[in-house]
Amino acid sequence: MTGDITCSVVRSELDFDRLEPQQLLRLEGHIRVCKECTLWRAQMLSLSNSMQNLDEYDVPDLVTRNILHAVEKVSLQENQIPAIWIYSFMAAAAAIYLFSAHDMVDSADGSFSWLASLLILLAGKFLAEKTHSLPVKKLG
Amino acid sequence: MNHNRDDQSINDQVDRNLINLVLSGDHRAFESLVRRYQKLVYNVVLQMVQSRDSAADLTQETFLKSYRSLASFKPELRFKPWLIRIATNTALNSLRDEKPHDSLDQIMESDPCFDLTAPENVEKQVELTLATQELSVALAELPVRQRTIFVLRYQYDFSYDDIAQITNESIPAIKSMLFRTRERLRKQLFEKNGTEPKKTVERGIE
Repeated sequence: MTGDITCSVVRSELDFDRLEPQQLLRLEGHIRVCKECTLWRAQMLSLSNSMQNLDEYDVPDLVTRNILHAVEKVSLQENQIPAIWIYSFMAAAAAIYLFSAHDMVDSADGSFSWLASLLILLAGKFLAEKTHSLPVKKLG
Repeated sequence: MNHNRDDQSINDQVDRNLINLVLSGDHRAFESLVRRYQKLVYNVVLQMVQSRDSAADLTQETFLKSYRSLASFKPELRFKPWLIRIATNTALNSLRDEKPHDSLDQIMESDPCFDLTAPENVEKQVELTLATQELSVALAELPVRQRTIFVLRYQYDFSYDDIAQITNESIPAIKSMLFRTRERLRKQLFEKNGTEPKKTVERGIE
């Protein structure tokens, strides 16, 4: 302990990024007269400088391309969602019309209309499912 | 310090403008956000998972999640810590199911040429700069949460407030964790071989 402040207080406070100038002066005052804290501070500065000098790796181009491609795909799908709802509604309406127009499946026209209605509904289901898949490419 | 705050404020404004453009339908503005932050995201995640392949996958996942969540981004928040929070959470989730990181022994085993006490290294002590390899190994030995907070603070200069936003921890908890980590690294790196550290050498990540 040097003056009115302990070494452990100095060491825990000195890094904090919201110190008032007066607090800082008090801590510096301690360090000037305390050999252990002077050495400690030199070591901490070294550690901190070395952290800032750690190598940073560039992002592989493929990663950037994949991100942009996936975002574009998601964006297109999101734009398509209102259209998909409109198409689905039209498909359902067409199917209901065909079902109701030829409600008997024992005639050729009736069978054809039921088949066409089922195909319209399946196409609507396929389109709806396609809009909800997320395009993530695994690199690893 | 004021200069840094001005830069931060300008960067925040640029981010906000880009986000507004994305939200108004210009998805190409998101490309600018990707290019501004992909290196930061990739390197923070790389420090967490210690594998370039995983870091690449997690970087992609982070940006896709952020794109999909952009509509819920609160304007009073800053984009950079918000994005890093998504990145660190994504990396933590992925680490939960994975094997533990390589220990110091495994790293030494995988690179038999790497010798912390090799005479040529010891003799080339030039200035008070730590050996990057030694520092990287010491960082890799830290628990992932401790390492992430330390890297955000000392490698990327995030403020305590930003780290609190990213990690959802209180500022006193962050302060205490940083103090413990600093002391642990300081003792490990300086007291083992005396106070004179070694010259910077190549760093190695899988």
